[in-house]
Amino acid sequence: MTPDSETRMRELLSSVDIPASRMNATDLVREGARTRRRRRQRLTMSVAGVATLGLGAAIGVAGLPGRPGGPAPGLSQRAGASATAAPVACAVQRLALPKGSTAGEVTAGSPNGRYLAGVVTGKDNPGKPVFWAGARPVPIPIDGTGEAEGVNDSGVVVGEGQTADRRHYAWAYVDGKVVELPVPNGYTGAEASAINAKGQVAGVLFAGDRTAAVVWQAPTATARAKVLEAPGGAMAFGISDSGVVVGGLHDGSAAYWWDARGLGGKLTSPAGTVGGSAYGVRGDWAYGLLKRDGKPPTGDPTASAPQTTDSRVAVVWDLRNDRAATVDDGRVQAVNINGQVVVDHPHNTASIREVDGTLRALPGLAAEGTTHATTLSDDGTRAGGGSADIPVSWFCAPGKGNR
Amino acid sequence: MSAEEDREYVEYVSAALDRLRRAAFLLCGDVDRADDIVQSALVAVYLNWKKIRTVGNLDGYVHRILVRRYIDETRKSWARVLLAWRDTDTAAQAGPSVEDSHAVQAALAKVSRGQRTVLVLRFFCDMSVQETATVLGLSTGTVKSQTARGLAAMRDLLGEEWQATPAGASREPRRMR
Repeated sequence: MTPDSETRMRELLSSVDIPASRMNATDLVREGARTRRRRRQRLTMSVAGVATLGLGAAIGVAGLPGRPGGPAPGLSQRAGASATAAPVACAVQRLALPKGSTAGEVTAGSPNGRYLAGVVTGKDNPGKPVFWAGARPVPIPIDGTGEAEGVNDSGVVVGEGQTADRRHYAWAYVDGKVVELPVPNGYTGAEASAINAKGQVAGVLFAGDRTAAVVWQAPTATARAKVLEAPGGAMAFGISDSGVVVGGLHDGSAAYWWDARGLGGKLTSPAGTVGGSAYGVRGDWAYGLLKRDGKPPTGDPTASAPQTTDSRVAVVWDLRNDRAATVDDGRVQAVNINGQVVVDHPHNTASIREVDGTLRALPGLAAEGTTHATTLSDDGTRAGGGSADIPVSWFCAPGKGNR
Repeated sequence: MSAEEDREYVEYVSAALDRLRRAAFLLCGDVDRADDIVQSALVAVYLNWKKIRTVGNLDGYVHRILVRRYIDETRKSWARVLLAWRDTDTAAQAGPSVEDSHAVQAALAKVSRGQRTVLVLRFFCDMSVQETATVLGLSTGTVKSQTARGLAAMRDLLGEEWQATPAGASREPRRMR
């Protein structure tokens, strides 16, 4: 799109007016002070909650029983929601931030659960990738800003970066060194999305407004880059150990996949969905988000629980038979070899969903604040994500996989 | 918080309030919800003011908090968002001024939520592709394609309004990417 369009868009957005409000700074100070008092009280309660959880996880019981019924009076709705979610069987652990960083999130985890990678931010740092092998954070020294997108069982991390002159590039972090993945002729930029056990890296190439799905055959500066054909261009977000790649068409009209030879096709779109994209694959399982078709959802009148009202619906595909199942209570953020997934729920809570549908809550660091899960190990015992803007990992009692 | 810190906070909010309310209004299309989101974001800023006040790009930082609040809130109440943006009366009552403003609101109501969010973040909140991607949890490729499609949709929806040069709109863009 031309700079003229962007300039015009800026002008038009600035032209929109909004009626005056009674809100003022003094009232906000008062409200802030009130919230701080309430939060102190709640903090006291949640510290007690964490202690109980630690005990449950340590003695290896299946879980503490969920609180029956609705939220307790006096608690915020958000705190109530996390308290009523499924039996607790996972313990949350705060991951250390590199010096100078104030916030962050785990964005990738290796299938064996040993390695995590993510992004951290701080004063004057809008985003830098970081690697955890254990508790100690290792900053990944890329040029400019960026974040980690994938890590494999050997601890090789891949991700995307943007230089000060706004060039987008794909990088790999191998044995403590950052290498830039090559951009084939005809393209101006790239990003890496995922890496498999063989070291093949899936990603996206850019050229103006065009995109192409790509697989680099190794995480090196001289790797062969294979462009995956798709009508109108595509983006690749996941790659399995056997070389199956998943992603979406550039125009958002379909989730797409390619077999190990590079032959592509659309993924099944369940009834009531259109367009969207797949975001990851592990073994025979892929997951993604599709758009709901047409009208706002009406919900299932036979369901007792309220349906999600998001405009997009999470889908898990079984690639062996191209069967698609929708997930109604949130967004799937990762799938493991056994088909267990992590789900971010609409009320800022997250869970592991077993193959039989059972949920195991992933507790946050505090009742207040958003919790996201982004990774799940193959044995279902380790997850990663963020809670209240702090990177976290979870350790869980083994669950039920293998469908 | 010390009296001095309180004073600094009040000073900052007084200067930033209008712009934050506009950003929230562009995102959600409803004045009351916009005010709720802004209040929630600014209370969060107050609670961490001791740390936040020294941040290099304070406006950018606060905009990110605002967008987080918007996203968190819409996750809970997407149905209401749809209603707010489809209710043309809401849009008609909201803007007191020029025709241009109404047309832009009406057009924004018609593009997808994802496109609208990306357009507002990039071209009203002045976020880079990278910042927008980080805040929304999307890939930079998706942000770019949403931007391109959003701009094309706005141009189609606005037709002649898109071509017209609004009075007093000759100022330079704040930051080009």
